[in-house]
Amino acid sequence: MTPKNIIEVRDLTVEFKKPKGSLLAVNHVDFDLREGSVTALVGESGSGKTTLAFTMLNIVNTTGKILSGSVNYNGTDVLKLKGEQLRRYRWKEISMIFQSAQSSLNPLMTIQQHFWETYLVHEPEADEKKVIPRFFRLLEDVMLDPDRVLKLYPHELSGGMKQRVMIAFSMLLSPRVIILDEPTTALDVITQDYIFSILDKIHNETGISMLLLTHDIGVVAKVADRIAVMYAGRIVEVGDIFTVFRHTAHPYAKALITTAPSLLDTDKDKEPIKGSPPDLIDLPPGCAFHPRCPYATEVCREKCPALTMIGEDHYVACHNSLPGKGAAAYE
Amino acid sequence: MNYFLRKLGTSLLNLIAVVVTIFIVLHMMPGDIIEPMAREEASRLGITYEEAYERVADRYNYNPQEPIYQQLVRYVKGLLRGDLGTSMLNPKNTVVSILSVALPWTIFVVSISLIISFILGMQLGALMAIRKRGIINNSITFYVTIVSAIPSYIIAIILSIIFVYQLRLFPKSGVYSIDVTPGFNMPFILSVLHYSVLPITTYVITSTGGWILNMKGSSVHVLGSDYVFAAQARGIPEKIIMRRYMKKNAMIPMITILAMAFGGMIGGAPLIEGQFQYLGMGAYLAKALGERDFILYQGLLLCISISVILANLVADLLYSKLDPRIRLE
Ligand SMILES: Nc1ncnc2c1ncn2[C@@H]1O[C@H](COP(=O)(O)OP(=O)(O)OP(=O)(O)O)[C@@H](O)[C@H]1O
Ligand SMILES: [Mg+2]
Repeated sequence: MTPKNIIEVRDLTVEFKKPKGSLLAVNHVDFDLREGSVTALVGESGSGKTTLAFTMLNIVNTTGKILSGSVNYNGTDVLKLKGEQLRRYRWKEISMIFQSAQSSLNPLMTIQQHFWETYLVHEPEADEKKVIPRFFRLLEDVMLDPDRVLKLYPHELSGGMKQRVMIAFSMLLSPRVIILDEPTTALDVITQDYIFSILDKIHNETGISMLLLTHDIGVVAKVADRIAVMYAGRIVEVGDIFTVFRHTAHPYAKALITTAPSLLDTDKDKEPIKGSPPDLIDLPPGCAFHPRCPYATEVCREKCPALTMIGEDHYVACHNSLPGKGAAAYE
Repeated sequence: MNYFLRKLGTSLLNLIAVVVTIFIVLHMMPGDIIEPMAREEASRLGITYEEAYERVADRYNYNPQEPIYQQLVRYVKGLLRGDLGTSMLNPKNTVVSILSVALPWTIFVVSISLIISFILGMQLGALMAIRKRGIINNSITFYVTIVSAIPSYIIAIILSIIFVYQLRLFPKSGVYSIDVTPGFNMPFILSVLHYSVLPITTYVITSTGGWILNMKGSSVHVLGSDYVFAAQARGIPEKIIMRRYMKKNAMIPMITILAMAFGGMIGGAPLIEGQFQYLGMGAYLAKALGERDFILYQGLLLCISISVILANLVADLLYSKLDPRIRLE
């Protein structure tokens, strides 16, 4: 049985124009989000994770432009949605906790006003008294005291509380997908674990699909069941978490995973990735990773590798990872 | 409450500093202005110069021959009694009586002008922030550019040439017609409005541009903030985002600027009031300065400073009322 995809991104390209030139933050990307999965999208800063996620809400930043592709949600192309249809789609079907979650709330409104406002614009017939119990339940699910928190203004919440409020908020309309963009980077380690245990619980109870954007591979191992690795606007490796961790095929993914602190306890070949992150405005020809890649060959400098299936539910975009070649995974 | 008391204390300290500063600056002006008057009085009444000097000094509650600290004590004692001295040109008029005539007219004109230009500025500024291009935006920009390049008294002159001298729609001078009796009656109110139209129009024309640009800047800033982006992601309709997110947040700094602008404008614009011979604070300020009536000048300055300090206090308190982030402090 083939697993069902709730989101299918096809050939998506997003361009940003900068004074120095234009860059493709997302470069001909194909990506599937499996229904009911927790998929981690991993990559270093600037690799295009947030830009890719934004297109799923069709909320591209003012300066960004979608050059090609489609984002299918449940059979509709989200990028074609407009006006009222688009407005109703957002948050009802897919919600997102932004990287800037700490400043995602209107400073002049209490938490209850936020919840009620969003609820009302999606359910115009609603009666505030009848939905307040729902607000209570959502906040209790993230271990907050609803009586107190609902009355507070955003600045009266601590960082961890705000993040939990945002998680509760994202569940408000029972969406089918929730995107979490670096949900714990601003928080201390203990709070991070706490947040992930809450997310885990929510996932187990509701079966909601989650897309987790992070550059912290350690986080991925804890919560995700699928992983996609992004480099310079492209997906370079994607697959089931165990497969990808055990048979890492892309040299960049390999470096990411092995350099992650205390993950596989393989201190022996712990070596930071050489070279500097790519300049998206002036990408090297061929595979964007080749200047930093220890396995690079002639073809890598000339041709950009396509995402190819190399095992069951395991795809990689590398000339040298195909079975029988250099860095191959399944030896 | 604590916050209120702290702000009140700061205002009081400011007030004391202002009183002392105005006093010292004005008393550093060279020359003894009492002397010529004492001479004149001595010869007129046939008394000794010393005696005349004493009398004149007492009348103005100001004796430049005393050491400065003694002068300050004398001045402050007068203040505490509510005595600001008398006009030097017209000793029958106390400074307080002049203030009580001039201040209400200026407050009247300034408040109406500010309300009109503030409301216009908020609406147009917000509109400009939302519609980045288009006819509305271009025409507002054009208007603001033109108006900000013209000094306000030129606008006053243009208006009076057109409406006073050519069309004869509005009076040349004064604050109400001599044919009406002051009080709460229709003819008086209409007359007051009639006389104030041109000064108010001038203020509105000259100050609306500033409000528009301020509000536009503030709105653009808010539009770029994370919580507006997040609201869009939640499917909040644009109309609500503009009203509840952009306008409300953008207006908080505007409202405090409004309170302060009000204080600042109590000085009136001497040139505008002068052009229409509208006898408010500005007109008296110009008069006092022109005629070197320095006791009147000192009284007017003090009154203006107090209103600025009060306005700042109101601005602070308003800010804490409007912005929940300040409330906890
Ligand atoms: N609003 C914008 N204007 C211009 N360029 C942008 C904008 N947003 C993103 N970019 C560019 O697109 C590229 C990808 O950015 P994106 O935010 O998607 O990366 P990311 O993987 O989410 O990184 P991070 O881990 O830092 O969040 C970057 O090079 C960035 O400079
Ligand atoms: Mg990001």
